[in-house]
Amino acid sequence: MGRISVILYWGAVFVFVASLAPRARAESYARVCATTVDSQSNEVPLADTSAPGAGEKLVVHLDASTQCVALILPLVEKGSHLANGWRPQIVGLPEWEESKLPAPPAVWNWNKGADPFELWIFFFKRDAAGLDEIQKLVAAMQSQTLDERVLTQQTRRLCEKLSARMTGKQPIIPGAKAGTALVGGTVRSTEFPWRDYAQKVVLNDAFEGALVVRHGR
Amino acid sequence: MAVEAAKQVWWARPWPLHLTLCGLAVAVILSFGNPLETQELQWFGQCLRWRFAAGLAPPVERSIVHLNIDQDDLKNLSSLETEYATAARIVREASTLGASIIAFDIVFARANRETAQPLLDAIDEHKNVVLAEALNAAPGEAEPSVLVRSFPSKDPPPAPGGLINLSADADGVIRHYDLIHPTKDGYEPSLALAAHLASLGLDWKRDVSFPNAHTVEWQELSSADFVTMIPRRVPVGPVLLNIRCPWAVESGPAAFDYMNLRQLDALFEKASAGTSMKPLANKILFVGYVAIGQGDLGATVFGPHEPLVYLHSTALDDLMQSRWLMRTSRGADALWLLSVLFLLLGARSCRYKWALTVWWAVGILFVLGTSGAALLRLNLVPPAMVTVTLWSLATMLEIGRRHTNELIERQRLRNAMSLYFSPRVLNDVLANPGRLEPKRMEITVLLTDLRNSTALAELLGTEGMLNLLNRVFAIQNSAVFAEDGSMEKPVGDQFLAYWGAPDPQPDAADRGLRAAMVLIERMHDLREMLESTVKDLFGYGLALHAGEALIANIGSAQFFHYGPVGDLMNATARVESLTKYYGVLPLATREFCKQLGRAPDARMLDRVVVKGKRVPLELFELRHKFSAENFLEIAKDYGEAFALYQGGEFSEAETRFRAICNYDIPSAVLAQRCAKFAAHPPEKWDGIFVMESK
Repeated sequence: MGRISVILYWGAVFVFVASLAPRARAESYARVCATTVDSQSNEVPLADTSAPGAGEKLVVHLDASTQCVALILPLVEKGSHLANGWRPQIVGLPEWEESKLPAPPAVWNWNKGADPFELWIFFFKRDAAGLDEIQKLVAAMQSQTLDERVLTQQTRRLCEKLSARMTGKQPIIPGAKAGTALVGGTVRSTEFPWRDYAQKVVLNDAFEGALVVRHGR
Repeated sequence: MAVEAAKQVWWARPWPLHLTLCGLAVAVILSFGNPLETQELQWFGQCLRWRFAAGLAPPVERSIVHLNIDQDDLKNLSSLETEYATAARIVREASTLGASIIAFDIVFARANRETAQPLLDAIDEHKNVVLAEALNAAPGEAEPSVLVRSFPSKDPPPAPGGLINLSADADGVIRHYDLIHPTKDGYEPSLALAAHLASLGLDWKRDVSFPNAHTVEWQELSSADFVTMIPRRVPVGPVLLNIRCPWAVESGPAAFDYMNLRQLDALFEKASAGTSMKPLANKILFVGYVAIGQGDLGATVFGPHEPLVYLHSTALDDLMQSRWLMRTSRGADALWLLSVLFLLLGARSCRYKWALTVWWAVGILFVLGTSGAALLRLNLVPPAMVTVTLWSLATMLEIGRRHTNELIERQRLRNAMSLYFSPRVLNDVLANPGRLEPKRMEITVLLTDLRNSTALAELLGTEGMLNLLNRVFAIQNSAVFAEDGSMEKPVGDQFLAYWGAPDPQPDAADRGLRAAMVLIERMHDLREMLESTVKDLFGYGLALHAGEALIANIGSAQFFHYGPVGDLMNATARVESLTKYYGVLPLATREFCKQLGRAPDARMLDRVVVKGKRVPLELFELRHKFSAENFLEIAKDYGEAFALYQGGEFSEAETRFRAICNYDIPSAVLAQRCAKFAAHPPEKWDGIFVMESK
């Protein structure tokens, strides 16, 4: 009887302590992989050795463990100008569904221009404040007939709106390169296994995060 | 007359005065501008300081960051080479950290090509630098006209440039900022405008136009659709800087973010270590000296030694947020001034001066409050000081106007009351109106009555009679007022004066006697001046009496009259009427004679009960300048006869009276009475004669 009481007592204590402990939460994250595709449709991950060439294109694969919105802003390393004339892309990410950017008809041709560039990749909660304006602005930047001055001011305006994230003042968690073991979801065997090369971006409590992919630095 | 004058003068009513004042002020403002402009700006500066202290200063644009080269940084900038090399380092590090624009508040114009090359290389590499230019005065000229560029030997310039000239207001404080400066070769942008244009990818010469002489225009992206370019206009003239706070404030929404050179280096090292974010991403970095002794400090509304580079960043902030402050236009200033007239509407209901003073204070608070609100809410700087001054002037004028009207009213009252009071008494009464409260007082009364006034009126006619009465009244007035007596309102040909009210006069009877003697003398002189026919009819009686009377304002609020009322007046009138009966000029009662300090030469004429009264009066004839020379002898004989009469020995008394009645009229009156009593002795004789008629 006494032993049972002791067991029950410690059992109650365990239950109490367990109820006080924070609940384990499934970590939300996204995965990103920038690749280059040559004129022969050979796709390889973007690396420091990657270089522009005829028919060369830049592609970004990404997915996320939760619904969110992804924005990719390609900028030159030194300044707030679009790299190689690549227009920013924004896409809604369903849970675990891969997206490939830029979305057609947009193409990020990388024929020339070896200047260093940066791919600023931001993840937003779907109803994040100010996201509507960002989407509107990115949509406005897609036209190929835009005047250079308009594009410059659009880029600057977009950078302003992302400024807090770009300076690091907004809490975002840049992730390390993802290991295979961490990767979830499904892999279609006919496609480039980008997940094997993807970087993981841990999303914060507001399901937001950011990653900078640099090239040529 | 005074009332008429008060009604007729133009300032008797408030509006002509205030309309004139406000009209003048508006005309001056519209024609010449605000004469108190410096005071307006000082008040504006005070408002900015209060706004900051209250935590109401609007936040600054966070994309503007300062790189302050401070005293410690200067230790490593001892030579021109290190200065240029450091500038190049700043460009490289800040660019790597993400700065979109680096604006130097430093003119790089002194170095040789070799020294300048590292900086030129950095500028060329990053293409995000805005360089400073300055307009300097040519030798012998006061106005700056010579443009000094950074890297003057480079043509075209390696980077866009902006002028860093700042000019102070009349009181030496910098509040305004010229976004555009006129030069000999046209216009040049300020450093703030040049930085703004560079951040938008615009070129001053290519993308900026002047739609008119007062406006500069360029195209900016519309926030509505992010595609359309809409014109952005700014004035060519100076704008008021919306300075948020002193530069020394380290943090807060109203303070710019800043770092020094050492912190930039540290940040760069940290970023190079591999952090993915860019701490200066999209920032416009203003680089300038804040070290004392570098000559880049000046007086602003927040202090005498503010780094002037902060004024450029403030101007850029105002430009980016479209938040710069505007002085109201002259037309708006004029309308603002007219608000004083509306304030005066309320002032009209202020009946008392203290209420008007309170209303003045309310008006001041209203003007200052609304001007503060205009600054905070509308970014407008209205003409508060000139409005406050005008309001104060208007209030002072209103007080002065009311005071003047009061003086006129008081003068009118004085004129009216001066008919009845001597100047001294009048001053006392006006100084203390409470003395006119009703009260019973011992007074001495002098009453005169003109004889034969009906016959005189027939003889002289109305105007002639009025003239005569006025002359008599003037004599009475001067005689009475010389002894500080007070006059009753004349009724017909009867004049009444009194002493001992409204303030007690211990020697009231003596004063009355002296006044009576003067009056008799001057009335004699007047009589001598009259025509013989008038002179024959001209005569008067004078009575002096003393006793208690009620002194009060008699009448209503609209009309009142101050004077004595009571039985004393009636008795005096009866006594005066007896002067004709006895054929004497002045007649006084024992009550009067008892009040005298020294017994006068007089004789007791009779003891009577006047008609309508029960209390007997003892009547005395007073000796005066025109009495018989042997007045005392007559008085002695009369006294002896009167004693017999009093004792009831009427026959003997009659004999004695008749002995002197040829030259003494009262003796004739008493002789006649004694004869009557001798024939029909009274049933009960106590020496008092009861008058059957007035």
